[in-house]
Amino acid sequence: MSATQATATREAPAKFVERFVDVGGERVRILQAGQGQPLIVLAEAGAAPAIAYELLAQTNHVIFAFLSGSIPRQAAATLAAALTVLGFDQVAVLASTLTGPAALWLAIDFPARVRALVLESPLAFTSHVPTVAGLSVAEWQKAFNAHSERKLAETTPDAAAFAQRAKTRVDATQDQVFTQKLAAFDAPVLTLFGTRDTLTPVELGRFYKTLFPNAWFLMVYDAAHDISGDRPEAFADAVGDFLQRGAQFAISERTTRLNR
Amino acid sequence: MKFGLFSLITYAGDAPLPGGLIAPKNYRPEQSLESLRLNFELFEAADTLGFDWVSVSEHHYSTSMTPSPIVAAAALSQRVKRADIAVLGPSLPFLNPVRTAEELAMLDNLSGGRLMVALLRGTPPEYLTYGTNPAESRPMFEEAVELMLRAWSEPEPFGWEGAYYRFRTVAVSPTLVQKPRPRILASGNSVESLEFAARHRFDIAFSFANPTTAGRHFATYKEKAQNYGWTPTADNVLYRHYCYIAETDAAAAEDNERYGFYAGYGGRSLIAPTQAEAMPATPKSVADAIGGIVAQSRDYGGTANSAIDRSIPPIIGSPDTVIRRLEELRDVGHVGRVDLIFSSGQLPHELALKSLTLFARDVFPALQIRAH
Repeated sequence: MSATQATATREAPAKFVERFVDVGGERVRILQAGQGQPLIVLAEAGAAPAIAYELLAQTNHVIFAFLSGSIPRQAAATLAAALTVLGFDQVAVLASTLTGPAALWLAIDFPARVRALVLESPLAFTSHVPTVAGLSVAEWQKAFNAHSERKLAETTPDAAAFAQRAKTRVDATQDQVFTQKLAAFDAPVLTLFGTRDTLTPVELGRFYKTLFPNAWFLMVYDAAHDISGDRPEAFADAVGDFLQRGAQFAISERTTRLNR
Repeated sequence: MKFGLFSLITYAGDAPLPGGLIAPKNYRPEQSLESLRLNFELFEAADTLGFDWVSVSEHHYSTSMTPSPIVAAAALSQRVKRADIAVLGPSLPFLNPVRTAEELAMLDNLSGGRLMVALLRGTPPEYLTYGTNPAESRPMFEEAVELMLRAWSEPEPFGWEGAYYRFRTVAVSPTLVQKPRPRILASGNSVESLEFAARHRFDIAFSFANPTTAGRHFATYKEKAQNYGWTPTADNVLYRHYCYIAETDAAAAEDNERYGFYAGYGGRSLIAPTQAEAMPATPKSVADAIGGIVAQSRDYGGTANSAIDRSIPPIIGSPDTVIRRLEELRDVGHVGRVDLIFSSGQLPHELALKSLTLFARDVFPALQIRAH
């Protein structure tokens, strides 16, 4: 059975190893595990690899890159430089929620470095920024996770911090650039939205699908904003399949034969 | 109130009663064709007489000739010119939800936007058909519904990564004629079902309950709907039962007795039986598998049918009696839509037609709020 036929299962958890990379005087923290094609995960400070990434590390070289600073375009430049230091010409890139803008800048400024782009509940446009003020802690947590019981650790960001990040990473000028320039990015793009996401509703997927020339829009059932936390196996299945097969992931390779 | 004619499109041979299953060897093609002819005649009559919809449902391994109700409804859509075409309904856990969304969208086109549909879980005998695990039917059903709603409304092709369904490219064509969607009904048989219907702003449907039970269902449904910011009315409640109407109560009772009109759900219909064609009862192996005959079947989902009192008598009698029964359903049960079975048992086709006609002549003026 090929790796793409396998349903992701949680076997021995991949062990993420920490290292640091010096990029033009900036020290970038890295957590990495697994072997295979490199997958750069743009990570927020404080984030930790969850079950979904342990699963992805079974067939991919998963590298969490913690980029400091709040200016997405600078973060993209730092990442591009870090890739050179790490010895990667081209990588797959995965961004979630508010790391989305940095990933989009990477696609615009360094398209040759990006083999494939995965966007999990991306939040990159001003008109998509949700209002979180006034939400109770319970409401906020529910917006973030439909199944917090499936998470290994509590990693839900504080609502106020989330709002502050949104303010510094999303702006109207950037919107215009994204809208105009991403049409030229022709690497395969997978956007995932949870059907229970109230922060970046699933309907936004259609917007991203039309933003790129080569995009797939995947609805993840029963997941809120944190898809990889809510449906880790489903997330790893879909993303893993996409990373391995690109557009071919649209065609099933799963056998339906029961016996011979 | 609004009224529809429901038929199982029952095979008019001899099936055991009640709820018997029928093996393929017991079907006679000539009787299948005759059964279709008579049932379609009844549907066309209902359309002509002013019924608001005609309805079919999904049943397998049975005397009902609608394993695919959408196929039956597609045929009906070309012969029934005015009334809505109701598929009540496809049993989603058995089906490919994308295919079902596609076929229903096509049916909405074929019928010129007259589709009504109930999205259901199916009943135990149906679980014999496609290898579906009944213990998973509720989560499968709920996911299938959400996927179908997305498939009908999403303008861009999309993929679906579900717990039970995976599709990388969903793009339904043709799209629905009715926007944003046709009238959708779901089961109103349990608190869980009522919650689900309320959450999705679906109508509810249930069968055979007495008016008090129906009223309780409505109250629960309304309360739950209000939690989701909307208030259903009686027009959101569909109720199904058997109906036979004659000039007098005595005549109706006599016909009911003579022809076994209300001998049980899924019984013989329309053509008198002949001893030579008598069919065996439900095989013991099957009865053991499904926990008994249809009406007493095991409750796989934990809640199905648990709230329905099936002892309520069918709506049989003179026009006055039938009107009174329906008024009680309306006033106590908050029922606004009634889906009626006019052909059952060995009731001759002519009497079924006559009953239908009397209903239109005497009941409609008293109770019908015209939908068309």
